[in-house]
Amino acid sequence: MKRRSPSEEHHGKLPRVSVPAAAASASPQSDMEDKSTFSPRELTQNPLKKIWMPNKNGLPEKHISHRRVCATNCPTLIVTVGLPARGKTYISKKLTRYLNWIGVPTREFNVGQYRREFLKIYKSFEFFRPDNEEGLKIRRQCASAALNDVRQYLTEEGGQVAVFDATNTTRERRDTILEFAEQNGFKAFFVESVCEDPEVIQENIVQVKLGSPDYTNCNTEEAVEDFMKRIKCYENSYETLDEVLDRDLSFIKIMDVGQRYLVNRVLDHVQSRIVYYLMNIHITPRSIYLCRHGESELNVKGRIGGDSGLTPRGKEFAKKLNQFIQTQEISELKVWTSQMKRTIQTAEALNAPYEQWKVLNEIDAGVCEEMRYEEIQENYPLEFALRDQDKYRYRYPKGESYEDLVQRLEPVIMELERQENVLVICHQAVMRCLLAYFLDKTAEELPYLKCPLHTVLKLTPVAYGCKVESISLNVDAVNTHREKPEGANTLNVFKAPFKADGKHLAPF
Amino acid sequence: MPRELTQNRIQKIWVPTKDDKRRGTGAPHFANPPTVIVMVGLPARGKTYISKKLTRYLNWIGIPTKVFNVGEYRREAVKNYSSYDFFKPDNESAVKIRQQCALAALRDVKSYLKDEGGQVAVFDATNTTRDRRDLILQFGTENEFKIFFIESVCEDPSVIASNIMEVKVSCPDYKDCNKTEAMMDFQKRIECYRTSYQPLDPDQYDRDHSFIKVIDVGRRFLVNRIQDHIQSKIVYYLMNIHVQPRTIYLCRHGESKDNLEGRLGGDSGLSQRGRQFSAALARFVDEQQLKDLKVWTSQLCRSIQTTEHLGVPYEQWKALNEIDAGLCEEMTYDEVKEKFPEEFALRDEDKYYYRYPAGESYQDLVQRVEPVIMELERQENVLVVCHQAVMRCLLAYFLDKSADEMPYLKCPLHTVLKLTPVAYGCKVESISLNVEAEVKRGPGTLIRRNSVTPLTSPESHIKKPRIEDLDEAPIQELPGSVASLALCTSAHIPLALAGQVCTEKLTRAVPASMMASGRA
Repeated sequence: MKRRSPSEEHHGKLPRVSVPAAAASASPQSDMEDKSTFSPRELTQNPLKKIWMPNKNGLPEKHISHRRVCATNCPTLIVTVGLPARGKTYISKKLTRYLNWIGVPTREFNVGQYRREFLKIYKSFEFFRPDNEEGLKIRRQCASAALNDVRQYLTEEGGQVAVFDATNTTRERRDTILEFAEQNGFKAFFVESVCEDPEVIQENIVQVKLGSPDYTNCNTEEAVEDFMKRIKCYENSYETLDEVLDRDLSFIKIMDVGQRYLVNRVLDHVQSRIVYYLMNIHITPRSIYLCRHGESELNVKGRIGGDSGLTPRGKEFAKKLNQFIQTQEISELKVWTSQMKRTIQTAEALNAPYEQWKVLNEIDAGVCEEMRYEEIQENYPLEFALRDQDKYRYRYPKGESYEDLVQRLEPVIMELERQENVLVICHQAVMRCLLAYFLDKTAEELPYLKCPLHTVLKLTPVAYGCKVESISLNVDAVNTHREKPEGANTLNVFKAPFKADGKHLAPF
Repeated sequence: MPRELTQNRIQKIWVPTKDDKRRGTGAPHFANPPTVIVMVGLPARGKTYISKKLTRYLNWIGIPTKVFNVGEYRREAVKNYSSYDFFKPDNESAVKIRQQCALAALRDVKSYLKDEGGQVAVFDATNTTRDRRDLILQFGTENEFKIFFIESVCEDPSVIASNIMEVKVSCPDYKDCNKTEAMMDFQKRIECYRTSYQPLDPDQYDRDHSFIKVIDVGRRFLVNRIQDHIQSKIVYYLMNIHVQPRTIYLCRHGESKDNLEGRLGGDSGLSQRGRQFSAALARFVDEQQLKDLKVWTSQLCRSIQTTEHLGVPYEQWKALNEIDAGLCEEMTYDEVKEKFPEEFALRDEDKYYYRYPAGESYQDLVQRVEPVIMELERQENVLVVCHQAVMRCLLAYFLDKSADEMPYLKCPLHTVLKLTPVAYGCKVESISLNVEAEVKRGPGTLIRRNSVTPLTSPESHIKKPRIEDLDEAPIQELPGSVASLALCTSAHIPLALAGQVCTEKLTRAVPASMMASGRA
């Protein structure tokens, strides 16, 4: 083998130690020089994830590259650019939520928060004046404290993407960040938001700035006035990303809230996904309605999966759902279902056109399809225990895991972001995955989110998050929720890809 | 009163009433008005390359799409191209011919989108003037077609020169010239357009139009007012493709124990011969001396075992797993025939749309492997170790095969297909590694019928009589606005006809595609 990396070449001669990097995950065994004696490693199947892994010294190899969004071990530093009130924090938070959901550990670092932490009390825009030496010094310290945390997160805490949320309006500041990225082996990707529409800026200030701790003791007018002056402090020195001067940087420039985009030098898969995501999101007010199908024949029998039809109570729910949708008076509502009979039957009662998505089908329980939990416990006791151990990553034999489901549902989320009012009639596990995206829930919480039958969740985007209203349509149904059993061990099995402190406005 | 549901037997889709027509596609198409994609740019900017490639992609994901290349209409109308004089803005008779060719192409766009089930038409011409684009916009408004412009901007002389060498000098216009003459003539042809070229203007004139500007072969993009799902997909696709020379290798896992027994699906390991193939594959890959080869496998044991022999890092994709045969998993064809005689017959009836009970169809598989195609477009040298049905789907994308052909493409065990992009297509070499393998006893190949979705990019059919006789050009049949343009004076309408052809898809031995520089 000619193109093996030097580190791998040692492995033939030195005693095997654990190979840390993913790149070395499938490193070959010894005696590589002679092809004829080369024997490939044996494979064993990981019982929880049902993934084939090569054995190393009789033990399964830990690091196997599965196709994820970040295929390289080169972390990404996303750097926002723009004047205050251009939606930088909105973009940072939203992007962070999306990346975590698709399985890329991401965290945002908001320099404003470091400043508030440091300063405790904000007096006025004077702090941000370019000639305020003291202010400048503090702000610089905050930025460098944030960058320190970025480094810690990406090099030691397993983070793959850090979002550095600050104005970064000068080329000098961006050069400092580029240098930092280069020193640490991070790829820098800039996201600039440019907007000159005074209405949009005003709206943004009212929506999110007035609620900021900086203005707790002001009235609206004072706060707006101060904030406008704060923007002025940056305007003179603002250097926008330039097609010529910044031609070697990787960036996306978002103009007028998504009317137009300039995209320069997209370098890798994760950057390409980020660009695609940013081009699909919008801020037009709308609501998303999530519900499950009406109660099905198999629900009543306590059996999972299958493709049965609705019970009389399920049909009753479908009718009530129709009435509920009527009362909501939603303009141009899109209705989506899975390709399973029970969701289509539910949608048929709506008297509205709908679209079927195969990817909205319920989690595939593989050999456990149409079984009762007790039967699974009896027939596959090990499987049953494994599922409790790590429900997010547990894959049913010949079926799917929640983790698989999230990958499958990604195109649905992307299209939901593009659309306005949508009603999604889906299934318990599917609804949990969708909900986890909107509410920024962790992999640990996701499989236990409560999504009862005959209940509609209405999601409305507000400020940086999402408001949830749970509306029961008052039709009885069986309970299909299975609580996380006591003592089930989830913490030390695998590290959650989601951040642990996911904050959202509407606790579920 | 909600309607009763019945299940379509081929696609296993629940449909109201007894309507057994196929309906769903797995991924909704977001019923939209049809779209006309309008190329913009000087000659030799890769417009035809983008048109053809995009058309192939859209057809493959199930959106019926067709290219209308105005240059081909012109070559039909004027059999013998003499020189660039034809493209001079002051050549009145030529301007008239070119105008009529464009109008004939638009007329065909209209009938394709209105009567022939097309959803996207790609109008491939220079369209370098606002007059011309305004005309097309009006054509769109009148027919309720959405218009999306794709402009390719490139000023790198070496890129342009290599594009001319690769696809222009070999084009029928220059069949009687030597290369240098052809190059000279084509350069002058470009100059004919340059003076009147008005690029898309995002700040003023074109600010309300939907478009993407592709700058310097994908180094930079300007995207304006994306309107819908299809436009968003197109933009994403264009941002992921590149023109670096590279090679993609496709093969199946080595022969598995289930292969030996003639069983479908399953997750068995390799047979003895399967392991021999894996070792031969390792030698083969070694001999190819590839720079930065990426290796991808499915998550099934047999493809991972095969890859383990290579002794290089690899990535597992669940999306590359074999088609899910549902209830028929691990059965032999004889067992399927016996247990599900009806299913067996249905599969023969329409293999592309046929979904196994509680399993998948080829159509489902295409949706599933779409992210793999997108990532393959982004990458350079890749070896994909996969499975028969999956390999057929991937191959159909690269070779522009229809839904009818896809499920019958020959992808034998122990054979590597080497795909190299050339000009507008893809060169395929089939390399048998000379390790014997069990030949699966399939249900017998039948001639396909029934399939509606033309997954292959349709060949352009130019109806000759219509534009051959220029004295009787059927202007009267045209929509008002188009006719009025056709009748107005030619002085200020330098019509846009990129002379671009080359329809041979597979084997033209031209190195790489249009351009050599680009993204890092």
